This record gives sequence, structure tokens and C-alpha cells, in this order.
Amino acid sequence: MFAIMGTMGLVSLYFLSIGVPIAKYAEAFNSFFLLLTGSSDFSMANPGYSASAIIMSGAGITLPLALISLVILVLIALSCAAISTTTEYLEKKHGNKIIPKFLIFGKSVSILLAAIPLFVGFWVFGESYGNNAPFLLIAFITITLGGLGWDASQFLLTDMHRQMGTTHTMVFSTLGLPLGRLFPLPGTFSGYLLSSSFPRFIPYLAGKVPAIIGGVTIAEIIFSFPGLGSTLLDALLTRNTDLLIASVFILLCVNAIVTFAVKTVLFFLYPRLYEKAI
Amino acid sequence: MKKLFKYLQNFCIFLLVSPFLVVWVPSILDGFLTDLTPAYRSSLVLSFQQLSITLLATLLAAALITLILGYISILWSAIGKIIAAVLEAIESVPAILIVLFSYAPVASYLASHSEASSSVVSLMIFVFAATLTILPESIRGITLPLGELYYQKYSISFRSYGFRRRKILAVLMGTDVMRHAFKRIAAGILLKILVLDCSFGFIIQLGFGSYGTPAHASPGALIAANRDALFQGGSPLLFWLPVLPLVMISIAFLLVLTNNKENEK
Amino acid sequence: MTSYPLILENFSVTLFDRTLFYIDSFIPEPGTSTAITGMTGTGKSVLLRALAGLLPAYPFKLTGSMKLNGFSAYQDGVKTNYKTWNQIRKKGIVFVPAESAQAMNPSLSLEQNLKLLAPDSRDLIEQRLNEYFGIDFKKFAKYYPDEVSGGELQRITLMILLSRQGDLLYLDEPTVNLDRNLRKRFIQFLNQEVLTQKDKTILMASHDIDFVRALSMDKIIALEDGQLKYLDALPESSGYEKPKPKEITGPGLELQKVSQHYKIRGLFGEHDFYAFRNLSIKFSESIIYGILGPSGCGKTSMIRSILRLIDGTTGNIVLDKQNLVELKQKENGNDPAAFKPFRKKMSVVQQDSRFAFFPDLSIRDSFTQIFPQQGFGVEDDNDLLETYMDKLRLPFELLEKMPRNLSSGEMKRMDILRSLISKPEVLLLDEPFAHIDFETRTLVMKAISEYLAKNQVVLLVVTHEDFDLKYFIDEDFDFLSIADNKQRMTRRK
Repeated sequence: MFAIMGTMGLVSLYFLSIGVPIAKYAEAFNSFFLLLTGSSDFSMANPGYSASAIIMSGAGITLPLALISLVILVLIALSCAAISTTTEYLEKKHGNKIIPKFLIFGKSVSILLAAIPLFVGFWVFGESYGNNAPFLLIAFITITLGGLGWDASQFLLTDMHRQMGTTHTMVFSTLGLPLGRLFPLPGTFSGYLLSSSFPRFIPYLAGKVPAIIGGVTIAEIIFSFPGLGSTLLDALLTRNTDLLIASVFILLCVNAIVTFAVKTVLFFLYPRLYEKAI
Repeated sequence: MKKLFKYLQNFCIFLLVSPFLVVWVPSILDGFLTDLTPAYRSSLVLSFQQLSITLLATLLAAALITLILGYISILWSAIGKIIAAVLEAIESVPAILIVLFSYAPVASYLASHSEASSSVVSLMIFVFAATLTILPESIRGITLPLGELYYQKYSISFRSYGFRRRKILAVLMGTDVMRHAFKRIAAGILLKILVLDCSFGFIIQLGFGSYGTPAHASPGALIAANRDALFQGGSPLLFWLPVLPLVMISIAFLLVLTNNKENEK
Repeated sequence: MTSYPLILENFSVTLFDRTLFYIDSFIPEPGTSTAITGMTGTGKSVLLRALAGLLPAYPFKLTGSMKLNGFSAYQDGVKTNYKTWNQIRKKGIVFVPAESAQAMNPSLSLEQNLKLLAPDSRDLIEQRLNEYFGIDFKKFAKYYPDEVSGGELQRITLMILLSRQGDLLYLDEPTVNLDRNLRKRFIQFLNQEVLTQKDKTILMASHDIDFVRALSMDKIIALEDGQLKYLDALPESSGYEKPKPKEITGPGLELQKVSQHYKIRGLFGEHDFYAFRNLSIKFSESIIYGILGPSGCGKTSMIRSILRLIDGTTGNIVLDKQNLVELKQKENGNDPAAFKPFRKKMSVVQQDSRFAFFPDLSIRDSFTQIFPQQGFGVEDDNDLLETYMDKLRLPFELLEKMPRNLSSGEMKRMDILRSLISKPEVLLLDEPFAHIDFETRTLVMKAISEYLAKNQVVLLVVTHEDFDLKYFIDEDFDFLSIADNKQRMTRRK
């Protein structure tokens, strides 16, 4: 529903600002209706861009790229947070000074990667791979460059660090369980901190989905993938309003699907906390 | 020792943002990089000058609106809920889409008017669009700590003395906690706008060429215009030269953000 | 050969440049129980935390050696590595913190918490909860910690922690926030089930002499002047002589069928949650009323509804023949003109006194802002300020400090001073003596009693502690939990 309302709202604003006649609104929304109903008449009005082709570009390119990027984001954030919190634990409770020095090196590398603009990374790799760039590589670049991975890691490790000062964490630390130095597995100290931070981290992830899709869109344009990003750019370039409305709608749908998937995970993990999230 | 480290850090941050200062005194660059064409040097200097204006203008606009809306959200919680709902809707749309849609209506105006007026209009549109994309996170950055300070800590005592809510909030806005929050928000705004401006400039240059490009220059557009210099026998310097100061400036903002988070811990 | 679970030799802990304690040798017999008593701030909790491996490397410095469960825990003041400590902990260290209810992870259900903390003891825990606290754990298993009342949570948490397997059991100030009913049953449980176990070596830190006296501990040690001293008998606790209060002349404060509800957002929309219902009680002037009850039963909500600082209050709260609920129905950040005179008559001292002062101003500057709001200036009452600072043994220099630079005891006394100077007619104290040692507590009680002797005041004190009931409170009430408070509050004395 949000995708439909959002599309109509965005496109209406666009039409308003360029001053199109009223008839054009009706034409565009009729076209939108044809897209929603999967009618072949939409395809006839837009040669080369059938409704199914646009949907497939979203489902086949943008959605998988966004999902893979999300998974990589989660893995990187979890690992960075586990390393940071367990290092701090060893430093604070056991006076270990050596490992934090390596951590400083790791932090510097992550800041450097986050500072490199996303499009620079894409362009450098794009020339080598062209259209055949593996999804995994694109997703990895989307997360490590440009700050997405850094931001997620910072969010999670800040929250997990805060959990370290709580009474329940202190009691947990007397149980004699492994630390979980590299990854917060269940039954480890870092895993315990993660379980306390998950109720905030998952909604944070849901909020980052638009940014991930934004990054993926840039990748599609640069790598010339037939995804929604390229379609959107073509629509703006040729002022094809039917195509514009279609690609915006599918993009918002992809956004909604991924956000819904993230919130569903929250619901299954914490059914009671989900009440507060909605 | 800690103070010395802090001074060193601040000095490093200053050095990292120095490209913004250097471009306003272009004579400093005389004698350096003499192999570059005058046109390229001029574009390089202009793009970073424009970027500094873009960042400053957006920071001022976004920071002012953030402060006002953040304060109002806590002062009148009913209005706060409406603001939160609107911002959540905006946040659901990828930032690049918002900027694309903001520019599309004025594309023909930009192409058909003089450079001076196009530049101003383009900047205004970008500031508007960028502020819109940054508001959800920055307002949340104010309301969460301010709300916690007020509702969970100080409200009962201070209201029991007879202070009005607006007076209590005004005092709390000046606390160390909120000052750190403002610093974090400012660094976050600057970083996001930098990324958005450059990404957007790159994409539009890539897709549209010079037609409908944001008429205010951008390092992203300059990089895109010289993207082929990286390969195909061109001079890679033309590609990497604008990238380096961008990376330096981003590192500066990231360092400020990291320090803030360390302080909060 | 006897293996001792705990061996301390030439062991000391220093905080910055202050040595908290030095222990020549401490080797409790296996299977015995030892109580460590002493005033607040002497280092009892620090000692227990050091024994549990919970002390941070900075700012604490340690010297000497510690052996736990046969492993070297500290060698020449240096903590051994994580692997060694894990071996120590696997043999079983059970640490019961002061705020025991906070030992539960709020993101996990009670059942999940139990599986984490005491996976092998479920049946035992269920049986004990039923026998000693009348709680059927099966009914609570799926709930999360903040879905149960504070009292229930505390009972469940204590039982889970104390039923864990382990050779060493440390209890850190177990009487903090322990309500009266729970205290009795807890003493019974400890005496019958825990202190009789000879497979555990038990150390308990407590400033509550009466609590320690009620337990069958094998040894009692006092931590005094940085040394451990074995005691043959516990000292008697002493109070002070209360001045005679003023004669009752006014009607005081009356609550007539007062209910307090909040709105909670759920899956199907908002629903009402009642903190308490149909509360009817009369509080006269010049009597010190104690309000008792388990955590989360609604005592603080009652205080906030009297102050008219929360929405959702129904019924009548009558002061000076005026219904405060009618004068101010909603809290919207400002008081209606008709209510303002009553605002000036009321004063509250909350549990956390840090939030009674401006965070980034000195105490004096805070007073400069606060007192005019209440109708007078610091300059006008400088003598009064000096008098109270003297009574509460607060050095004048503290006025120039920031709140974060004051200790918790100093902060509390400063808050009490702030409250008394405003000359309230209704004084509401919400757990005002938490974390204050008995000597300081007596001082504060004396100052308040002297104020009461000269002024007509309605005084309500929310408290858990026996010491307060014995030496300060004139009449006390049990504030029944939401399931039980359909009736009037029951008077105890």
C-alpha cells in the first residue's frame, strides 16, 4: 500500500513541478493501473519495457543484490562488534594491552574503506568486469565502501558496549563460557551481548534498507545491469513517464519487501518486542 | 598525555579538511601539478569550492530545522508523533531517488538559463533535497537523547519545582550530552551530504552528460567526466586527483563521528 | 588433604591512590559461610567483585595472590588470563549482585534466562519458588522481566541465582530493595536451604546488621579501616532521639478512591494498565508515614499522581479542602494558575538525587535557579542554607561543585537540604535512604524530624528497610500489588 501511495505521490509531485496538463495525469495513472494488473497493453505502450520485464528487473537484479548486500552488512557488523567488544573486555578485565593495538589498525582500515566513495569503487571494478561483475563482489563493495558497513558496525558495537556495563551481563560473565572473539555465536559472551542488542539492531537494519537500495541502484547504473536503477535513469533521460511510474513503483516494492523481511525476522525472534516496534 | 593526543587528533582532522581551505586560496596551488590543463585545474578548484558551499548551506539549513523540529517534538508530543510519521515515510524512499526527483522538474530551467542563476537554483534544489533525506536521522539524533533526559531523568524533579517544560528543555539542550549529540549530528550531516552530492553528480554526468546536470559543480561530476582517463591510455591522475581530497575530508568526518561514539561509551 | 576453594594472601586493592583494604591471609574453610559487614564505602562489594573476577583493571590496582578452586586467579597482583579464569568459573562461581532483579536479561523471557543461568536446576528452582515464595514458575516462564511485578521478578531471580551449581557463592548486599515480606521468607530460605549446604563456600557482604543477625552464618567479619577483623558478636544498631512533632492541627492529605492508569501500546492498539486502583487513605500532618511494598507495586506512581505530574489519575486527592485532580487533570508541561499555589506547597526527593540539580551548573547556581521558582532567593535564606548544611554535615565548598563531583551520600543530603529549605507542607520521599550508610542516614532523619517539630507537614516515605521502620517511621502501610489493591491500604501499626 505504501509503495502504491508513495509512487502516486512522488509522480504527482513530479508532474506538478514540470507543469503537465491534467490529461497526462490520467494517462499516467491508467498506465500504472495496467502495470499493477499485469496487462499486456502496458507493454504495447512502452516497447522494450513490458510490465513483466520491469518486474523481473526488480526481482531478478535489484532484489537479490539488496538481499545479498544486507546479509554481508549483517555479517560484517556482527564480526566487527564481536572483535571490538571482546577486545575491550580483555583490556578492561584482564589488562590486556596488546590486542587493542591491532584493533586500532583494524579501525583505521575500516575508516579508510568507508571514506572511499562508492561510485569510485564501482567504477574501478566495473572496468575490469563489465556486465559480468559477480553479485557478491558488487554487494561487498556496496557495504564496505561509502560508509554503510562502518555505520552498521558502529551502531552495533556501541550498543553492545553499552550492554557490557549492565548487571545481567556481569552475571553472565561469571558463567565461564567462551568469549566469541571473532563472531558472536550463541553461547558466547559476544553472542550474549548481541542477543541483548538485537531488538535495536534489527529495526536499525530495516531503516538502512533504502540506503542499501540506493547503493545498489548506483551499481546498476555503473555496471549497466538491466536493473531498476538503469530503468529509472532511462525513464528520466527519455522523459518516459509510464516507465518512470513503473520503475519507481517496483523500486518501492523491493524496498518494502526487504524491510518486511527484516521486520519478520524481528517478529520471530522477539514476538513480544515486535509489539513495541510497530 | 590524553590532552596531547586530543590536540594531535584535532590537528590531523584540520589537515584532512584543509583541501576546503586551499581551494579558496588557489594561488597556493601555483607551482604544483603543472602538467594539468588550466581548464582541469579550474574545474577541480571550482568543484571543491562549490562542494564547501553546498556542505555549509545544507548543514545550516538541516541543523536549524533539526533543532527546531527536535525541540518541538519533545515539547508537544502529539506534534512529535506526526513529525515522526512523516519522516519515517520520507526515510523509506532511497535518498538518491529523492534527489533525482527534485532535480528532474528543473532540468530544463537549468539547461536554458545563465550559469549564475542556474548555479543558485541548482544549489537551492540540492539543499532542499539533501535536507529532506537527512532530517529523519538527525531529528532522531536529537529527540532520543533529549527525550531520555527529560522523561526518564529530569522531568519529575524540575516540574515539581514549578519549571515549565519549555524552560527545562531549553536547559537540557545546553547539556554536555546534547552538545555531543549536536556534534555527532553535524558530522553525520556533512558526511551524508558529501556522499550524496558526489554520488549524484557522478550518476547524472554518467547518464545525462552535461544536459540537466546539477548546475553547481561537484567533484563527483568531475570524476565522472574523467572516468575514462583511468583506463584506455589516459592519465589516471585526472581520475584520482579529485578522489584523494574527497577521501581525506570523509576520513575527517568519520574521525569526528568515531570520537563522539567513544565519548558516549 | 583439604582443598580450599578460596585463598587470599597479602592481598590488597587500591582505588587511585587510596588503599581500600589489605588482607594478610584469608582462607575460609570449605563449606562454611562468612558474613562481611561494615559501613557503606568500606570496600565490601569491591572485595566480592575481585573474588568473582569482575573488578576492572583500571582504576583498581591489586597486589598479592588469589587462588580460586585450585587455580591461580591473581599472581603478584596480576590477573591470570581468560582461559584460566574460565576454568575457575566452570567449577562454579555464583555471584548474586545487589540489584538482583537486574540480573535478568530484559531481551529474554524468564524461561530463557533460567536456561542460561541455571540449566541443570529447573526442577529445584520450581520447587523452591513454590515452597518459599508461593510462585508457580510455569505461569511466569513465557513472560519477559518487565512484564512481571518487581517483587515477583526479584523472587524468581534470587531463586534462579541461588540454585545454580557452584563451589563458591557470593552475595553482594542482598537486602537492597528487599521488601519486608520477601525479607522474612528470604531469611528462612537462606537458613534452611543455602546455609546448610556444605558443598558451597559462601561469602556475603552486607551493611544490614539485623539481617546478618537473623542468619545462621558460621563466621562474621568486619571490614574496618582496611582490615578484616573477625567478630564474636554483632554490634547493636542505634538510632537517635526523635524530637516531639508538632500537634496535629490541619486535615492533611486525603486520597479518595484514587486510581492510576497508563496506556501501553500492544499488538491490537493501546490498552490500559493500572498501577493501582481505588486507593483511599488519609495522611495527617506531623506523622511520618512509611509506605512499604515490593518493587513495581505502584508506590512511585502514587507519589507522582499526588504531585500531579502524570496523566491517567481518577478519584480525588484533597489538600487544603481542594481536589488537586480537578485543579490539574493533565500534565502538559505547565501548571494551571489555580494549581500553582499547591505546587509550591509540595516537595519530592526522588531515589536518584543526581537528577534534582542542573547537570552542568554548580550546586549554588542550581539553587539560584530553583529557589526563585519556589518563591524565595538564596540570598534571603543564606542563614537557613548554612544551618541545614551544618545539620547535614555538608562542607560549604560543595556548593561550588558540579553534581557529578559529589558522592551519592553527599548528593542525597544536598537534595534533602534543597527540599527542606523550600519549606514544603507536603514532603514526599521516594526511597530517600537507598545506598546511604546508617550513620549518614541517622543524620538526615534527625534533620527531617527537627523540621517536622517546627512545621505542619504531611510526610510520606517510601522505604524497604527495617532500620528506617525502627527509628524513623511512625506509622507504616503495605502498598498492595495491583492484584491485591482493590481494598484500602492496610495499616500495620
